[in-house]
Amino acid sequence: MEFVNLILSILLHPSIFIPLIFPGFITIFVVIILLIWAERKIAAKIQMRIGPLYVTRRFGGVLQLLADLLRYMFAEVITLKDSDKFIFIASPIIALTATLLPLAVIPAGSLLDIELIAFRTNISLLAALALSSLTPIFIIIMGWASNNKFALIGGLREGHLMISYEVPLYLSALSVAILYGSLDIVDVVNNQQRVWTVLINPFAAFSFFISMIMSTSRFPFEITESDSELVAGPYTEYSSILYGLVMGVPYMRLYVFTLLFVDLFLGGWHPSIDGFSSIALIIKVLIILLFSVFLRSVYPRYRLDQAIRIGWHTLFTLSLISITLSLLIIGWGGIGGY
Amino acid sequence: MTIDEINRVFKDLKSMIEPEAQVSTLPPNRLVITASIDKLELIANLLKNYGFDHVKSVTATDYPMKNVIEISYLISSFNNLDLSKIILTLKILIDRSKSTSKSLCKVWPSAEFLERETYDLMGIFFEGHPENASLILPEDYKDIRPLRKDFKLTKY
Amino acid sequence: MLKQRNSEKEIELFIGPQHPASGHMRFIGRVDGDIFTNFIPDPGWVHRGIEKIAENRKWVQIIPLVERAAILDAANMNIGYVMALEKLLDIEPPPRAQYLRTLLCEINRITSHLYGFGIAGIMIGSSTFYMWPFADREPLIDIAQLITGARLTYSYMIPGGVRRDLPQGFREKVLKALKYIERRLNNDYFRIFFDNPVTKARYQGVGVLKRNDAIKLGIVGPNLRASNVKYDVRKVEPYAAYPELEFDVAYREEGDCYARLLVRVEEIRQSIKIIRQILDKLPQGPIIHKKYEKLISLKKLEECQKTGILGLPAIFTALRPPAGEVISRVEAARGELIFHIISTGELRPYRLRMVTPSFRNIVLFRELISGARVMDFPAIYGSIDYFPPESDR
Repeated sequence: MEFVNLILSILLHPSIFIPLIFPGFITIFVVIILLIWAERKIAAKIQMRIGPLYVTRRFGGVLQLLADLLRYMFAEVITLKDSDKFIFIASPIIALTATLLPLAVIPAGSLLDIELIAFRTNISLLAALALSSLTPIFIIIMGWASNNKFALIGGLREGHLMISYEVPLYLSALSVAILYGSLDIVDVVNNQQRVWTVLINPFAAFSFFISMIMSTSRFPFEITESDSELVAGPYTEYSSILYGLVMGVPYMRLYVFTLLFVDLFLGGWHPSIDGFSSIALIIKVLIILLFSVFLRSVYPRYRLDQAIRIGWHTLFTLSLISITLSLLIIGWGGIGGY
Repeated sequence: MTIDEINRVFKDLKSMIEPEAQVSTLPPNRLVITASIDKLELIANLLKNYGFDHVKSVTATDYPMKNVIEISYLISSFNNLDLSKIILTLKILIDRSKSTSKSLCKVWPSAEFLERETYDLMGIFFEGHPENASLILPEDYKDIRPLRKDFKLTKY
Repeated sequence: MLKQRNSEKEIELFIGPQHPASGHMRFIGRVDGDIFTNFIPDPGWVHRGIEKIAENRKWVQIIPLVERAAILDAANMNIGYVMALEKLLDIEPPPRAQYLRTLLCEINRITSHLYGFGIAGIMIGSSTFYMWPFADREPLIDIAQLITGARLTYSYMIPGGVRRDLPQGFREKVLKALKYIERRLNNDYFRIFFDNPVTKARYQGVGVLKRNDAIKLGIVGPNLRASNVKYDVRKVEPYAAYPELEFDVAYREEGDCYARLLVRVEEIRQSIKIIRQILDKLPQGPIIHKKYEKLISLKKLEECQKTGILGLPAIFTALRPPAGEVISRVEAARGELIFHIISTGELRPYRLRMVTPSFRNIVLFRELISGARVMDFPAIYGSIDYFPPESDR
């Protein structure tokens, strides 16, 4: 009994519970399995076919991705003779880790009366965004380490896109911080008890959402790994378990960004139930995730220079407008209750 | 295309081209010009000025018995609505042992890939062609060219 | 990997046969930043030697051979060859056979264009517009199976006529299939793809082919008609039942990728119009020429009256057309197809020359893509509707 209590008290400590169980590692795993299954199933229904079916037949093939991952684990990892071996193998692993880092500072409501914030600081918004811009660097490194022309071009495309979407992303988040006067995400969420940010400053929400789609390679911005010109972009030469990892990286980034988006713009975990406020958060996150993967069935992909032009003409202007809007609202007396 | 229209074009071509080459008809509605290889470019330019603006096909036929290869250019027009109903065949005979001919790429750019395919499969070298390179066969192909009559299929 | 030329660094890309978007074909391109400075197509990976094999086959055996040059478009390859053979034999098939041949050719044109749409869709990343046209080919392939008994390679037309007659209940099934295709084309395809702003951004103004260049390079098919040249073999030299059918030639003036796709959409509409006219105007009568009908046994003819299946009469295996040279042309789905046959009165042809529309369009790769961006390559490839097996024969 003492032993079980000890284990439970370790597991339920916030610093362990959040990165490991919710909204951390295990939750991400489950979310990704369901998300990729949902993406394939939605696309299949729209395209008049069935999609994954055979693995767990009665539930419509839900565990298909688990079967794929098991297959990847038993396949042979092929490393190229001429590539930089250490970096070739290390960069997907580091990219995956870097993707999960922002979860340390993003709050996620409360579950079982535990406040789900791993590391409370008063600059958590800045920390989350800064940690999230580590991943594209490793994607570019992957492109170079493969010693493959297609991978190189794919990596460079990621570099071009990175410069285009990072600026609107940061500026939109900045406009929210200006509105509520704090860089702490917990304060931002607490200030949305009555009105969500998306109704006060829709420009910021829009440009953050589109920048989020651009950064995680969702259609119509799936340019890095487009398989019409580049075989799989920077991920061309990866096989077996490394392939599973690199394919999971965009989805994990999508999950982390969606958490941030819901916290900043959609009211976080409000309307909240005492002690179990994360449930509202989970529902909102799932809706946004499903919408993001639904876009695959509707849009083709943009050309690289068109996507960059969207980043700089449309999104950059919108984010500047959103900052102006925030400043005007502040100048007019701010939001009531603050 | 009525017979009168064909006859009119026939007479025009006859007056324009003979005695450099011979014009004849291939019933029911095709015209044939037989020329020698020296007058080829001259006739081609005359035909281009008349209104024939592209080449549809370059057919090379091997006659090992007579030791000649006959090259036929099928020519027609896109622009001119009357001429587009006629396919004109421009035939020349070349020596089988030497297998060289003059290219008509400068007159009709549409002949470029067709002549290149003829070089590849029949082994005829076109002088003046921008790139006498292999198109379909491997670059290091050394055997007899496939469309010649002495190439036996059973070998491959 | 990097080539240093005049202090300019270019990457040489081999978009080879092992590539998700190259088809059975290789391209060699030099990339400087994001622009192709030089782009060379390298065909020949699917060369099966149809012209050489044809010199060793009997005249009727060549009918399945030329069909397989482009399986999607089998009926048009078939009719081109059989028309050339009939010119040598100096016979004309009966009117009912002409109408049946036209019916199959138009069905093939629609399925071939739908295949082209699917490839264009997946090339720019729209997986929905890849699955939908491929699925929508099925009603038409079922109709073709009703007429001929096979889904894709029909070998339906023989010198002098066709091999089978129409089954019962045919007309209702065809009209139902046509209504379905029309509804899908006019509503769903436009909403998901042609009116999609991303598609328009990828296709409009890309790969512009001017009128003079198109004529000079000898381009054929919808690519030519999208550059403001109203050339269609069915109007220039009408064959089969086309002299008696009313339809318009689809053309556009801009000459960019979007125009090429819209020309194909309009051609599908015109084909549907033609098929409806054929069903109304179909004359009664025999399906094979009198000369050959007399040579078939009476019992076989009675069986044909009952079931509508004639099969291939055994007399054709010893067919010896007179000596001569003949040229025939038809409008296949991708453009103009030329057959040039030289016969010396034997059991086998002396020379069979077949120029397919895709081979005449191959020069477009060099002309349109050199100077374009790297991501324009799939867009242009999809819009030209190039089919490598048809080009290599």
